[in-house]
Order: sequence, then structure tokens, then C-alpha cells
Amino acid sequence: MTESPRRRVVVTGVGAVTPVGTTVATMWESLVAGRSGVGHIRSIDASTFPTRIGAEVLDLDAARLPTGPDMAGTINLLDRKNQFGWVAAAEALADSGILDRRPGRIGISIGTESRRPDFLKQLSIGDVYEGHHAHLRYSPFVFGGVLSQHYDLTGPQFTVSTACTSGTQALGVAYQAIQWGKADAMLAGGCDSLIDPLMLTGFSLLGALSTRNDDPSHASRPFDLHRDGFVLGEGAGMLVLEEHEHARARGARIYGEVRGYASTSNAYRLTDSPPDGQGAYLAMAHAIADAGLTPKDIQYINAHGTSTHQNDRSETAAIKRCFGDQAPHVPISSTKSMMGHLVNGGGAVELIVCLLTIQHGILTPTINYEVPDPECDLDYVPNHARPATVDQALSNSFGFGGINATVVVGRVDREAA
Amino acid sequence: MSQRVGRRVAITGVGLVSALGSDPAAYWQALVSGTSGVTRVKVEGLIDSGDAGDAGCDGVIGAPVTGFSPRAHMDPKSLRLMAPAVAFGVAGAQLAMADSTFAPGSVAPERFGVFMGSRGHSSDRQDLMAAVHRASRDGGFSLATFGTAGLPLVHPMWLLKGLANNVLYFVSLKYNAQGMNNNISMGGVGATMAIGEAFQAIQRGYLDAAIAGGYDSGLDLDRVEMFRASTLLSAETDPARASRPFDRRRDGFVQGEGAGFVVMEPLEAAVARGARLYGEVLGYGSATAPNSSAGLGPSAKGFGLSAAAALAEAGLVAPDAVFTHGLATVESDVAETAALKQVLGDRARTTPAPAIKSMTGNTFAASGGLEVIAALFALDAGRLPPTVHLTEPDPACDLDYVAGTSRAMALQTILLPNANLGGAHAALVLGRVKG
Repeated sequence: MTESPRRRVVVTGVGAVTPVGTTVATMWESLVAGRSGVGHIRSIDASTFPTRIGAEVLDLDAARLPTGPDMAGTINLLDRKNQFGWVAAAEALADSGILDRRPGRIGISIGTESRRPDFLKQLSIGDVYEGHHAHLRYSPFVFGGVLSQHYDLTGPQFTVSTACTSGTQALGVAYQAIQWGKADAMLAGGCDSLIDPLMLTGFSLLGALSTRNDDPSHASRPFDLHRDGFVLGEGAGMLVLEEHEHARARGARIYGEVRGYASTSNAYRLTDSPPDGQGAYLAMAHAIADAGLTPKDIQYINAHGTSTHQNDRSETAAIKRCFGDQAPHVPISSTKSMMGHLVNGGGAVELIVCLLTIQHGILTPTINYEVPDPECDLDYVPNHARPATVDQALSNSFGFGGINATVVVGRVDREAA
Repeated sequence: MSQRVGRRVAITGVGLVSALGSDPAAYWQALVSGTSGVTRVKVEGLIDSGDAGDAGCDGVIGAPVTGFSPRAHMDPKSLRLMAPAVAFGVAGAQLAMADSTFAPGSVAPERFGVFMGSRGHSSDRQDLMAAVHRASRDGGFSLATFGTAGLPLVHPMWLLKGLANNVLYFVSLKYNAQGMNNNISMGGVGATMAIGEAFQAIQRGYLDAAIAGGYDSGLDLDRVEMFRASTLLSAETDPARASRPFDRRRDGFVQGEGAGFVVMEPLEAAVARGARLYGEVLGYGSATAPNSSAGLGPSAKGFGLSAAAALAEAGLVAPDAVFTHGLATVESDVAETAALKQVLGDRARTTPAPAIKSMTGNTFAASGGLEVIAALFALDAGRLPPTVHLTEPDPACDLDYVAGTSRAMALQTILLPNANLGGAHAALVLGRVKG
């Protein structure tokens, strides 16, 4: 498709803060065990809300947050979601070891949104925004600035806000920035925190959330006939993407290669996805083509799989269109069945899951899959993890406003590496 | 030696909503004649802080959009879902499409993309106040009461009205643009990056046409309040003197608003269909380098790295002119000046570098788009708009900022640096289309 030279991009570090584990290792253990992170909401009083369940991060070690007098200014700029992002970024950078060697030009790409004003403070207009740096604390791009300042990362920066698609799109543009020679490495991912009265209100009014309040651990049930909406989650996923030769030259451990990316727009409706899955189909087809592959080369799909009626049917239709006769033979699973919907952070965590699936040869399950939906009739890796050889996988994200993004990752052979 | 790759990319349409109107030719004439859009603005819901000099009740100094009627561009049903800044964005993109005469159906839907410099989520406080008050008794707010009695008072579509990517949605829907896209919520570099990313997508063959630009408002209640708490705004009380980039007495920016969009196509296709060629995108670069840990902000390093990358891609040692970021804060203008001296070397002092924010104020995510449109008219007219209100030079800002009045000058290339308040920087190089 392009005439210009394209550099290869690999992943050399991963970090995650999720409701089922606040490190990549503990998250993976939970996902393989099929453990749900959904429970009754504890961080706010949601007792009178239509939805009273969520997937909260309850066990993050405060020592991993920026501490000490010289970090006071930094922590003051970071809200809850950005603090998750900070911790995941630190894990990913340490994991990659990229800062230990003389690094090249490193950029930043974050899927996130603006912080919204404090609900309670809205009563006293005039006091909502306090301090000289309120404009930064409430800006979507503050996290990128803070990371750049702290780690001296001077490459290109992206802050992407496309709702549920942000994390995947942030990774996609980071991949392109390296591929096109604009950066040698990118710290990329997404973060979010939606267990918040405003978000609970907004999503409840749209009828998007599960109201299975008496049975939280079974509330997120993607592709199951009795699914009734998604579960709000929180957390962050961050990855270090690196130019292949740059990573090899410093002897970095390589999780896998980012091989393809595409973003598309449904141009359809604000919240609904088209029944034929057109935009999602295009995202998968274009990303697979961008990777120089065909659908038969893909051995695992990490679905967007939100557990809403609409999404799961539309995504299934899109997969069938893209994969044709192969569709029933491609394992598909939804990480959201266990950790709920991390919205701006979801795509990044889910791409880490794809990389670990390739590395460990284990497919993580879609839990709570009990009654098949006749319109969702593919292999969703129901309820239990299972072994499989996966050389190439893809991760889907689709969001309100109709933006879709798909990233394809693949194994890097040791010999070839 | 140019580092250009792939296809040449032309700009074939422009659309804007601004303090100087929404007709591009009139906007250009206003800039050339040194007309300032700065005035006194009433902000709904704003309460006087009681501080000396606070003009909350009499209106704040700002550069509000003029000559714009949302209903002329959108149906009432859609408008109910749009905060004012969102309406600017949708209208700006529509105006650019109309100006381009580009027929959306002439390329495949998945080869047509939209790149948005977005303000992030839209202002929504007023829409919530009834529900918040319902849940407040005896001066205290009860979340439990809100859940039962307040929540039903919130509009069911409230969340979608504030959706950060709503303009991207409305624009891609209207033109059935299904291809590669982005919603870059990065303040002052938003439109610059959106245009740069669209340029790359066409250049490298991912798209055959794109709409790109940005929209924002610094004049809604939330923005006015949060910046009033900062040290970044000008304290000038006379609208006729406010917003004075590079002047020794500058003391901050003036909040503005608007939208600036362009339509971009491969040059070859644009020529083939006989499109108006406003100019060509020659280079794009971006970098991050906050000035300090607490306040972040633009830096000389960031301006320099991004400008150098854009010039390298364009294959230029120096452009014929620079349309500066010219934010009018003490630090940013010094940093930008230092960066231009470093990047342009001996050529810095002889390269004219006007700041149109002296007339439009700071329009945040729209500013890159509005500045690109001004630069395209400058290339065509062979004339540079002035930096107004620059009457006392600052020794630390010693370049040729085209102070006071416009200047005729043959122009082939223009560099456009921008920065945001978080320390992200981006730059574009535009050129006249040469055969």
C-alpha cells in the first residue's frame, strides 16, 4: 500500500494496573484462572444508583505512586486514572530496560480523556477549579506532559480521545510513528477510571450498564444470551514499543511484533454499531492487510466483547465477514468478562493479553458464558483457559461515536530476532 | 536534502469560525488590516471572585466568535446535542468541504478520513445543575439522594453530548468518511497535529482525501474559571491593548474560540479534478519537552525539535516566513524566539515571524487550523499579516515579528510552530504549489 520504507516495531516492555491484578504477572494469573474482578462498588456510595456494581482497583500499593517532596508537584497533576497510568508506565519502562541504555528518540502515546470536574464541588461554583495548575489537572494531555518531564522523553506525543477505542488507537499511532521513522521507541497505552458518579449516571441513562446488582461476578457475560450490558472498570495498560533493530542492538527481551494497525469510522450512529459490522470489519481487514497477512494467519482474537447486546452481535457479524469459513475456527475471548470495561484503557490491556497469549500458548477465557446466543455462535473460549499455539493475534476496540481500531501482533522467532 | 516520501499533498478547501467571522476571505482581510477580535465577553454563570480588578460580572476580556449562526449550518435536533464549541467544529469542517468542492463519493468511503484536534469533552456543568440541586438539602449534597431523585433529571443523552470525539462522529457521518482517523485532544497543538497526521496518511497511501483541523472554546464557564485560577491570562483590562505577543509588556494570553479546518488530497488528484490549490503541506514534526515539572508549558527545546523535524522533511534550511505560536505569555514567547534563532541560525533575524494570536487570541485546539488558513492566504497574496499591539520590543524577543502593519513579500514557504500547555509541540511547513 505504501512506497516508503517501513521499519519493524516490537514490544519490549509491558505494564498493567487492572481490577484483577496490579501487575502484568498477577493480572495474567487471574485471567488464566478465569477470576472475576467485578463486585459491589466500594469507592463511592452507589447504593441508590440503577447500577451498583463495578470492577474496581482496590489493592494498588500506594508506594508505587509518585512519592516524596520532589514529586509533590507531579502527584498533584495526576488524577486517579493517570495515577494508574503512572504505575503501569513505570512497570513497562522497568520491564523493557530501555532507559538503562543510551536511548534514541522516545515518544509517548496515551489513550485517555479530560478529567471531569468534581461532582460535589459543583455546588459551590467558583471553587471548582483551584490552584494555578487546574487547567493542567483537567486537561486530557497532562499525563503525556508529566511522563515526558519525568523520564525526559522528547519524541512525538499523542493524546487520543476516542472513547472505548482510545487505547488501541494510541498504540496504533505509536506503531506508525516508529514505523515511519518519527521515533525509535514509544511509551504507549491508555488509562481510565469510571467508577465515578458522573460516569455511572451517564452510562446508566444510556442503558449501557449491566444491572445484575445481586450477582456482580456474573454480570459481565460477553456473547452469552442473557448479557444485559457492560460493567464499568478502571485501570491502565502501558507498553514500550521499539524499533526492531534498536531493541536487538541492546539485547532487549521481545514480547512480540506489532505488525498491523487500522482505524475506521462507522459513519452510522452515535452509540449503535451497524448490524452488519461494517466499520469493525473494515478495521480488522485493513489491519490484517497492513500486517501483510490474510485472515487465515490469525489464530486468536481478543474481542472488544463488551457484553452489550448490540456490540457482541455486531462484532460477531464483523468477524464472520472478515474470516469467512475460518470464523468458527478462530478462538475469540473477551477480557472484559473478567475485568469489566476499562474504556480508554481497555485496548492497551487487551493488547498485552494478546502478547502474553502468544508467549505462554494459553488462551484466556470468556467467563460467564452459559447460554449461547444464536446470533453469537463462534468459539469464545468459554469459561476455561486452554492451551493453543498462537503466532499472530489481533485486538479489537470499538467506541461510542463509531470509531473502530484493530492492532495485529505476532511472534518474533528467536532465530530471526 | 528533502526527506519527503510518498505522494505530494495539497490543501483544496478551507473553512473557519472565528472572532473575525466565518468567511475566509473576510478573515484574511481583517488579519491583514490588523483588526483585533478581542473585546469584553459576558460568560454565563460566571461569578465575580471579589478580587480587585476581577471583571467577572462586567464580562471578561476575550476574543469571541462573531458572525456565526449555528442554525445556518445544522438542524435543531443535532444542535441540541452540541455544546457551542462542538457546533464551531462541525460548521468549520462543513465550510471547508463546501469550499473544496470535493465530492465525498469520488473516493471509496474507507479511503476518506477525518483528523480532529479536539477540545476533549465538552462543557456540561449547566446541564447537571438541576440534578445536583435536587440532591442538595440544608447545604449538603447527598449522593444517595442524587441516585434516586437527581439522576432522572439528567438528560438521557448527557454523556454523549460531552463525548470527546463527537465532532469526529458528526463530520465522518455527514460525509460517510469511514477511513483512518484520529481525535487528538491536545490543546494548542491539536489542529496542527491533526493536519500533520492527515498529511502523513495521504502521503503514505492510507487515504485519498481527508478533512483535518480543530475546534475549541476558551470562553465557556469551565475554561474561564480554570484559567482565571492560573497565572497564564493577561490582566489587561482594555480590550484594545490585550494580547500582545513578543511585546515587553505582554502578561499572558487572551482566551479565544473558533474552528479551523482544511480539506486535503493527493496533489495529483487535486490537479486532475481542477481543484483550487491553496497550497501544499511540505513537512510535519512533533516533539515533547515541558518547560518545568510543576507548570509544564512550552519550551525552547520543544519548539526547536519540532520545527527542525518539519523543516528537515520539507528539505528547507529556513522558510520564507514563520507564523509563530506567539502565545503572549512571558515564557512561551522567549522560548519560541530562542528556538527560532537556534533552528534558523543566521536566517532567524531576517525571517519575518508574525503572531496572529495578537488578533484572534488563543483559540487552543483551533489555533493551528486558523493559523494554517491565514498562512495559505499569505502564500497566495504575497503578504504577511502584522503582530498588533507590539510597540515596546522585549530584548529577549528580538526577531522581526512584522509589528504593527502588514507587509508585502514574495512567499514560497511558511513554517508554523505550535505548542500546548503540557509541553507538547508540533510544526508544519506549507508551500505554494510549484509545478
